[in-house]
Amino acid sequence: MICSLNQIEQSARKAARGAGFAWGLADETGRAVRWLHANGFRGAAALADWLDGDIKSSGAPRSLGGVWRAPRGALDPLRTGAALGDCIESAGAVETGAIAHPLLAAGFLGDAAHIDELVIELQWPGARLQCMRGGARRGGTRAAFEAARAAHLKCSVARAPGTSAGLRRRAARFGECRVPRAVWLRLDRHARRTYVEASEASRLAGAGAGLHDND
Amino acid sequence: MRLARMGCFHQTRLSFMRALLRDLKRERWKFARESWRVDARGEGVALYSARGPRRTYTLVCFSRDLPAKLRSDRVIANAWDATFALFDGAPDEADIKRLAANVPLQEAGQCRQSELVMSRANRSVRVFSRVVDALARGAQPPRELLDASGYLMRTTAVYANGKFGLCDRENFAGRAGHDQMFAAPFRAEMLAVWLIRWFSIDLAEHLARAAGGRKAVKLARPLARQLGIGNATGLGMAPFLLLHPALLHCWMRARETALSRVRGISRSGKKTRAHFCRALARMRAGLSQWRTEDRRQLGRLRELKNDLEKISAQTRGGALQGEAPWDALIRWSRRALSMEGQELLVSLALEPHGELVDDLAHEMSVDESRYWRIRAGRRVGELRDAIDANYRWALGADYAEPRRCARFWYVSEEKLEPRLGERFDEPGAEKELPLAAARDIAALRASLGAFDADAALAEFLRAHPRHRHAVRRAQLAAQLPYAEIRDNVIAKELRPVDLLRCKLSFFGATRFDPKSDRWVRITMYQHAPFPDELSAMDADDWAYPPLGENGE
Repeated sequence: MICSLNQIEQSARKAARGAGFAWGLADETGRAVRWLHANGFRGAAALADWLDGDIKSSGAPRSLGGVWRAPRGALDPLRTGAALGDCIESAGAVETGAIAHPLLAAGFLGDAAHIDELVIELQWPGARLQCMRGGARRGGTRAAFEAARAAHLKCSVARAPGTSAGLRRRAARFGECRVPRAVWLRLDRHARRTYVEASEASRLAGAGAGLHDND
Repeated sequence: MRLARMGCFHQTRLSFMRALLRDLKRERWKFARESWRVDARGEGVALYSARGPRRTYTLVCFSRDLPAKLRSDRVIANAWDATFALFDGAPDEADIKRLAANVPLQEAGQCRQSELVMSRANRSVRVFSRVVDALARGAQPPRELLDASGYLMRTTAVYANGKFGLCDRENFAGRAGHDQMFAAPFRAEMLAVWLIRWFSIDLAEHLARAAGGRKAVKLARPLARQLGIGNATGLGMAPFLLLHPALLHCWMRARETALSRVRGISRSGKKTRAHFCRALARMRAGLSQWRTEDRRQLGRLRELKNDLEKISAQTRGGALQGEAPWDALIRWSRRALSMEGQELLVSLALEPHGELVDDLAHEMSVDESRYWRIRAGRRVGELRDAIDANYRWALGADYAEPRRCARFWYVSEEKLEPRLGERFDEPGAEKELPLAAARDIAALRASLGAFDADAALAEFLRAHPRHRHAVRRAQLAAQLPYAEIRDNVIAKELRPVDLLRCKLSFFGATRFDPKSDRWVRITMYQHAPFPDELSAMDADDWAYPPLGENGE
C-alpha cells in the first residue's frame, strides 16, 4: 500500500496506544516510525512485529546510569527509545544491554537528531547508523537492522558537525512510502483498541448533526 | 484565552482567505477553466488551473447527479454531489483516471503525494435548483434568495496534510520548488475552496443551459459574488486547536500583535477614519444577511446590532479624533459592548490598517517540531515552577468532581473522527484522547510535587511515563504564552462550537450559524472576486458586504 508519512505516523501512534502505552509515548512512537520511513527503513513492520510479540517480557531501563538494562528480559525499544532521546544530549553516550527491535529505538534518536540538529551515532551488532538533520547514513546488513533483538546498543553524540553530503535522500521527499497491506492491518488491529464503538445515541449526539440536512 | 471569548471571534485582515487572495494577486497568479466534460445531468469532470510563479496546481472536480435522499451534511455520508482534488501540476488522463477511482470515494479512497487537498460538496437544495430554474428561463434569480443562503454548494470536508495519502505538508509547504505562498497555514485548502466556489457557479450555469437552451443566461457577476461556499463543520475539527498549541500561539500572537500596533497609534488621519466608518457601515448593512435559527446566536446578533449602533455613535461623537483613538475605543468597548461586539470591533479596528498589520499574516505558521522534544535534562523543580507560573488557572480544581470531568473526547470507531462523550452515561471513557490539558497538567503538578526537585526530568519520566504528554505541553506553554486555551475542555459546561468558531474565524469564515453546541454552518468567500476577475479587482475589499446603491 502506498501511503503518506502522516498516515504512517498516525497508524503507529494509535497502534502503540492501543497496545497499552501512554499517549505521550505513543505520540513519540508515531514520530519515530515516521522518521524511519522517511529515511527508507521499514519502521511500520518493526512496530507490528514488536507489538505482536511478547511485549510483557521486556521493560523500561531499570536505571539511567551505567549500562541500561531491563529488570528482566530485553529492553522495550519504545520506552528505551524515548529515554535515550531524553538523555543522549546530556549524557553524550549511552550503552544498553539486550534490546528488542533496536531499529525502533533508533527512530526516536533519528527524530531527535533531525529536530535538534545533532549528529547521533548508533551501533548494534551488524548495524551502524549516523543520524543528523535531513537524514541518515547507514552501514550493515538488512538482517541486522531488522533484528528482533540485539545483544547491545551503543549511541553517542558526535562532536564534529555532520555533513549532509551524500546523505540518503529522505524517501518521502519525492516519493511515497510503501507499507505491505498485511503490516498495515496488523497495526490497525492494535489501533482499533483506541476507538469507541458507536451507539445510536452517540451517532446523534456525537457530531451534533441530525440525520439529513439538505438546505 | 478563554473559550467564551474565542467563540466570539470574527474574521480579520489576517484571516487565511483574505491573506491568500492578497498574495495571489500580488504574485499575479493566473486561473483558467482548462476542461469541462460535464453532461446535461451534471455528471462528469472539470479542471481548473491555478498558475503561480513556480508551479501550476489543478482543481480536479468530479460532479454527479445525486438523488436527494443520498445527500447529507454529515461526515458519515458516502455520496456527494461533487468531489475534488487539488492536484500538483497538470494531470494527464492516467492521473484523472486514478483520481476518478479514488476521490469520489473520499475517505474510502487513497490519494497520492501529487494531491494536496481532497474535498467534497453538496448542492444547497434550497437554492441551487431555483437558481438553475431562473437562469434556464432567462431570468436572474432574486437577490433575496441568494442573500438567504449565501452559497450554491456547501463543502462537508476539506482534507490535506497527508490524510488519506494526500501530500504531507512538509513536502510542499515552504519547500524549495513549490510556491512559497503555501508556507502559510491552510493555504492549499483555502485555494481549493476558492476554486470550488468558481465551479459551483459554472455548474449552475451549465445545468441552466442544458435545461433552457438558448433562452438560458449566465448568472450576473454582482449576484454571483454574493455567493460564497458554504461549509458545515462538526466535532471532527474541534480538537485541532488543542492538538496544535504552537500553531494556536502563532495565530493568537499575530492577532494580538496587530491589535497592539493599532492601539499604539497616537493619532488617526481622516482617510483612516473614513475607511473604518465605511467598514462599519458595511457590517451594519450586512448584519441582516447573517441568519440563524439558533436561539443563543439570535440573542447575540440582537446585541451585536445594538453594539454596532453604539460604535457608530461613538465615532460620530469624535471618538477617533482624540489621542490614541483606537486604544480608547477598545477600552470603551470593554465596558459598553457584548463580547461579540468587542471582538467585532477588534476586526473593524484592524481594517483600515493593512499597511501596519498585513505582514503578520506571514507569521502564522510554525515548525511545530521545534517544540516537540522534551527537555529532559532540566530539573523537576524548574518545571514545577513553570507550571505554577503558567497554569494557575488549571491548578487547584478537583477534576474528579463529576461536573469537572463530565465529558471525554474519543475517536469513533464508525467514522474515525473525534467525538465527545458523556463520561458517566456512555461507555468508552478508558479510551479517552489526551486533550484535557487542565486536568492532565494538574495531575502532573501533583506528581512533580512528590519528586526530588533537583532530579532531572529524565528520571521523573522514567518513573512516571504517563506524564510525558503533559510534560511536553507544560514546557511548550512556558515558551509560548498563547498556546493554551485557559478552560477545562472536559467540563460539563464546555461548548465545543466555541472551538470551531475560533478556528473558522482564522480561516476567514462569516455568517456563523450554529446548529447545536457542536456543529456550525458558515460561509466562505462571500462577496470575494472570482479567480478570473482577481487581476482586475481589489483582492481584499470583500470581507464586509458591499453597500447597495442607496447605501443599504
